[in-house]
Amino acid sequence: MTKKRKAIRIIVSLLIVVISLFFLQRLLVPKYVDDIIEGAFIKEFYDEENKDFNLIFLGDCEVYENFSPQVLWDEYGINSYIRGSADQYIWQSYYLLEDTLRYTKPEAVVFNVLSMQFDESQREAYNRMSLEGMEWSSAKVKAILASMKEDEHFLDYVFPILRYHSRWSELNEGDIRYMFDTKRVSNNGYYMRVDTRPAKDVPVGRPLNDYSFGENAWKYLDMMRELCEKENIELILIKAPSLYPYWYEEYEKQIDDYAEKYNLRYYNFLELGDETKINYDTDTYDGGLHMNLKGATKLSEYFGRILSEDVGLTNLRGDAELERIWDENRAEYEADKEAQYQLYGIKEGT
Amino acid sequence: MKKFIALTLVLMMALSLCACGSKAPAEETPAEESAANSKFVFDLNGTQLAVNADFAPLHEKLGEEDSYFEAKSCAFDGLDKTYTYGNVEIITYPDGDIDRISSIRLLDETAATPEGIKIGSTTEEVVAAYGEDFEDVLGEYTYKDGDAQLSILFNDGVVISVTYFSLTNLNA
Repeated sequence: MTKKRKAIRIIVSLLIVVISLFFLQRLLVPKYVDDIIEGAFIKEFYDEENKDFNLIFLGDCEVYENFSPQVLWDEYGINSYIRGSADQYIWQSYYLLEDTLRYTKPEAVVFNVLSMQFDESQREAYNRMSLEGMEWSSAKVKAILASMKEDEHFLDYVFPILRYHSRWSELNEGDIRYMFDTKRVSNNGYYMRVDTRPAKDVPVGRPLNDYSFGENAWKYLDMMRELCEKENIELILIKAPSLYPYWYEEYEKQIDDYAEKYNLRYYNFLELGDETKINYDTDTYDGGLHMNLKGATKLSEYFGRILSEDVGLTNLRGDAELERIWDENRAEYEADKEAQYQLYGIKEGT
Repeated sequence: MKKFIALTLVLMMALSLCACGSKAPAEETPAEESAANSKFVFDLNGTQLAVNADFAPLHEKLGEEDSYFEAKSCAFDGLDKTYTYGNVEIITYPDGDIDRISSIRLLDETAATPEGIKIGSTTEEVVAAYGEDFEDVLGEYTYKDGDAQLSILFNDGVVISVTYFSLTNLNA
């Protein structure tokens, strides 16, 4: 056998192994389509045809379950996307902002401050849902390094098969169906629910020995503010009107002081109930944690007016390409609504 | 060469499908065992409660709660459930199909631990009841026993909060 033929055989062998591993990895990684769909939100952003958004939301479920970009577009011509993920920690929000700026330079960024209560990542599963969907870039590398818990390994993020190789016993039809192409599960990052469960008996937070936000959390809030300043983007802080987890007065004061010190707008929607008209008997689907479609619509209508009139975000209605994209989005939004009404056996408007 | 490829693929498949390199469940302290052996047991109306215990049979003994609240674990199946019985709050966490006790909190001065500590007790009374083997974190004394922790928070030398926690759930 000539040296050349031997080399070709080795290369072909290696290729077969690599391709096999690639297919195996695609099969084994969670698809987040039929359940725990929140794990797919971060990745969906990259599928957007036009990423020239003038508003970006960052944060945890308090953004992706409470604000509707479709309403913001329909009512105010605000072209927005929610880069939210489950239990998104502030260092992940920061690097998602860096990542987003690779594609667009929004007029404003809205950050939900609930995650300030965490100074380190709490669960690997949440890290995975925020990080795995990110496209590879220096922002993703830094996000992984900032997020990993003690027993996590960077290599597991590079080769997810190392993490998910034991999933073989949990594989289902969806793992094969969505091996290479998944379906859209959010509306510009918004997670829609139309069912209702009134808020009742919401527990009051237990007294803490220290209400101060940690150094790491402050560091990333500073970095987010500085990056926005550098890019001439307005950073807006919000606290969504979610009744649980408990938002302490001591937390509120720290954010108030920070916003005042750096001249940032801060809206605590827990304190704006009269203005938003949120009704916790009818506008939440899980006892006050997150808004249903009614609640998200009310909140978006109210916040959209602030973003439009006070912040001065550009009304992009009339842009032919965006109009076409949002018409398509609206069709999907309406279809999702209809599917949800059927799923929960609800008539629209009830 | 074909044999080499076949062998490599088989090895790769085997590696991929075999059990994860992390701790096998059998090596972990079962939550049930941890609950059974815990020295932190709270007596609620004659029912013995310990963190990490399966709450279903205890719930049956305790009867209907005064109030109930449930919170979806962010993006995960299962719910964190809060049961209130008078002056005691019990929170559970999902562990597969089982709801285990995550925390037990005394809500006012009418509830006391079996060692007699309640909201309003003094530092001296706490140390007399539980000893000096605690960690003081910013005025909160934490006593640990396996996967359970008793946290007692003071304000000006007076107890303002008493809570039993599951460390299993905190570290998950």
